[in-house]
Amino acid sequence: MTHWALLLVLVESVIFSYSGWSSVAVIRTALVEKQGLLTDAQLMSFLALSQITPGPLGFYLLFVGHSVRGVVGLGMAGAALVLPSFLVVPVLKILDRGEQHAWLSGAATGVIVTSAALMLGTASDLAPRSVTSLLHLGIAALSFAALISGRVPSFAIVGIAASVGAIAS
Amino acid sequence: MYPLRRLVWLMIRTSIVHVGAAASAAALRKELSREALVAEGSFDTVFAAARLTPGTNLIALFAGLGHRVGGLGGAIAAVTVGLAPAAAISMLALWLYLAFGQLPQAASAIGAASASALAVLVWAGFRFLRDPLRTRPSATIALVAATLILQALNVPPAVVLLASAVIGSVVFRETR
Repeated sequence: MTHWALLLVLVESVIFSYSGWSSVAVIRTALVEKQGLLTDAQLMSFLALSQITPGPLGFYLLFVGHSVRGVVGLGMAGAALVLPSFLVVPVLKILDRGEQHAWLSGAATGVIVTSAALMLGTASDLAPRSVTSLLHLGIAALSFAALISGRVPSFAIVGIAASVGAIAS
Repeated sequence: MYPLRRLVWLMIRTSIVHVGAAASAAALRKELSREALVAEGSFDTVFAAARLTPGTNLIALFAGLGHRVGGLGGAIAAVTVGLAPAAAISMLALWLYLAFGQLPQAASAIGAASASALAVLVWAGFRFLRDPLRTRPSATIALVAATLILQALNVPPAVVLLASAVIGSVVFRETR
């Protein structure tokens, strides 16, 4: 995969996402399924790491970029994460002018719904590789229950799971 | 320059201490309001714009706030300097993972964390669907079903997402 092709994948994944992890479907399709540059296990590890490290969840792309292409890939991932953010400036101009932005918010909602569906579809593909034992199944189920309760932040849930895994080894 | 320097320092502090966009944004809003750097109403407008902007909400929020305080230079400073320390800590965590991840205990911890992260991924997907399901249930279910079918048929995600933006601009235009 050329540098430009990798940059295109990274930018594509960010530009069509409206949150940190909703880019995962694009990344998995391009880098795991088509190019074989990453494994599902690596991708899941990077997602887990991004949950317990500071900053936005989208920083998992830094891990992906570094894993695929070293420092160059890291720089590309950083650029891919940062450059689309400047689109906020024209969006702000629209909101400040009080213009009708129903089409813009409708488009965003459409992308969010599709991103959510892609995330669920990707999760079902990743499940066999992430849940490989009864312990993992129990951890996943308890994590989901804790998330639904809304009482425990997600980074704490993943951190506790990591601790349980370390103790159980 | 003082307001911009102060803004970037607050961004550094909130992005290092908190994980994820929501927690960082909430903490930043409180700090900016307390120091009268950015009014809460203005912050909320920038936050709404960040949510309408493609990509990571937190980075777009930083860019928008930086632009409010210091124009284009402020936006660049906010997303580069503001997030650099958090990115550096994340890369340190990656280095530790690469260096020690093969040790049995570390591998087991990562495996367990990955199972938990899978639950987070599923929960996040359902959470994003909550509001559209409440306001436009039929359209949402139809779009989800169509997306899953297209994903199973290996249609590139970017194509599906682009189509959903076009469809959404018509079908969902009154919901947000």
